[in-house]
Amino acid sequence: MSVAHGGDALAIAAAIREGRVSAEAVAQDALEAVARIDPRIHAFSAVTSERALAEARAIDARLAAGEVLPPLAGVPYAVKDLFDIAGVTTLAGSKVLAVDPPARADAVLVTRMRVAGAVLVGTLTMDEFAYGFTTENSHRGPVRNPHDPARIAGGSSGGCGAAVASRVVPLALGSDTNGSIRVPSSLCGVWGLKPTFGRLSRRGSYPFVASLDHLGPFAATLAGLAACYDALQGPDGQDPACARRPAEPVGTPRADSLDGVRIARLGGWFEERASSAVRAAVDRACAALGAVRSVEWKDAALARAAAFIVTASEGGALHLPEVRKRYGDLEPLSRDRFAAGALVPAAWYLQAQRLRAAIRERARALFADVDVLIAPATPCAATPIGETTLALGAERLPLRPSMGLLTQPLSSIGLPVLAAPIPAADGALPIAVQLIAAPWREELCFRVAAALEAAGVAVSPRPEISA
Amino acid sequence: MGPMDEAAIRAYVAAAAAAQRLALPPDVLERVAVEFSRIATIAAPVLEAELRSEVEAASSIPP
Repeated sequence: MSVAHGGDALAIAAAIREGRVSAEAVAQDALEAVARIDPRIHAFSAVTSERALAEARAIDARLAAGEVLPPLAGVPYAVKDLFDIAGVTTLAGSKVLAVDPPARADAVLVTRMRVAGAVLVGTLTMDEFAYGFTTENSHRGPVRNPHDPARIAGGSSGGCGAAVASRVVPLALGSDTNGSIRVPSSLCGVWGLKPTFGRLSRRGSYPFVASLDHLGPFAATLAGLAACYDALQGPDGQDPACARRPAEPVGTPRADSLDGVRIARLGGWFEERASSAVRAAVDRACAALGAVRSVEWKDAALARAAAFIVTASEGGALHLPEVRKRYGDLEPLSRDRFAAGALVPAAWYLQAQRLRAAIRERARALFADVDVLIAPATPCAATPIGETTLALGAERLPLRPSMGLLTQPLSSIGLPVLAAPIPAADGALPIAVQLIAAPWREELCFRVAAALEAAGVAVSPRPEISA
Repeated sequence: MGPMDEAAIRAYVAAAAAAQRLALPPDVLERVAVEFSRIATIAAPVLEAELRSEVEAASSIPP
């Protein structure tokens, strides 16, 4: 690339702002990187070349006119293909939506990225309708992990994880219903944020489970993640699930601001379902933070089970028309689950929703004397493409639903979680730790992440396959 | 509450699918029953959980 940015969104923005490189040159380089790298990782589902170059030229024109550029001016990014892009059909990883007309307008978060000056270069592959943790999309082929293309990138936002890890783009937008930002962040070794439920507008994105869907950013650097998150924030009066809260910018995360922040490790469910390598990564993070305390969240299993039922039921109900009429065109890896979900009795669903509400109330006690909790994001590192089971101790679990065992309990009650990538000490595959705070306290997650980054424990490792 | 009987699950899935006007061939129904059984297994502790009567269902309300 014209700018050796290493995936640093803010370095790109600074270079453009200072006139060291044009936004158009950066966009052309990003498009060239897609053409060169993507055949090896299959992250992109569409490339928006014309739009990228037009947005970049507009940035260059503003600079030439003496305007002060917005914070992400000229920074290339891509979005999971469930975000509406004006003029592009929103596929949500499916074949059945291909006949739909193109979206008439951008999703709210895409509009906010444009206002922040970012340049959209394309859409990214996902599990069909976001139901999966592996992005082995049978219609498009699996997204491959840039650290080892024989392995999965995680899902359902697997294209986001792979595109950012390979530095084809420094930023991406994804969605997380049960872990779909945090799982690919972990398996691809990039930064990811699932904000508090209701923090970011979902208007203009294809839904999966209205009760649980969150949108959020991926980034190759922590500062990039913070800048992107700040660009996305703000209420949306037209989205009933978006909280009426003003933006609460996190700014530049500072490593020297941990005074008074109480940090503890989440034990129990989160330790028992992690491999020894994953536990070792959490050990390194806790040691760097001086976190010696361990707490147990007794409701974790129940929270996960409730989310499982709600997901099956709402997802199944949403896609019942396709299950009825176009079963053969649906993803073979998830269509049976959609059908089964549509048959869940209403009493089960309502009990699960009531339980979520009760657990959410009880979880307040967790944060009475702790500010940030640490837990692994995935039970293990990236598994081989095609693997169907996950070995956890003596147990063998079905892999596709189980890769989210450690993320699902947390999104079930809407807590904000930042996934911080931890490279393996021996050069093996990365994983991420989850930094978890009470609702609306994302800034605490960023402060702890900055301390981990400053200690050299958390960083997005650059794979051999990278721009 | 004990585990659900597999034959009962298959019968329920067949009946519920018919009620939902899901005309699926027997081999597909069999696979759907396996998935439903998995949901039922995970659901068991949720269905057993005792909740205060004042806890109401919440769906899309932000926390």
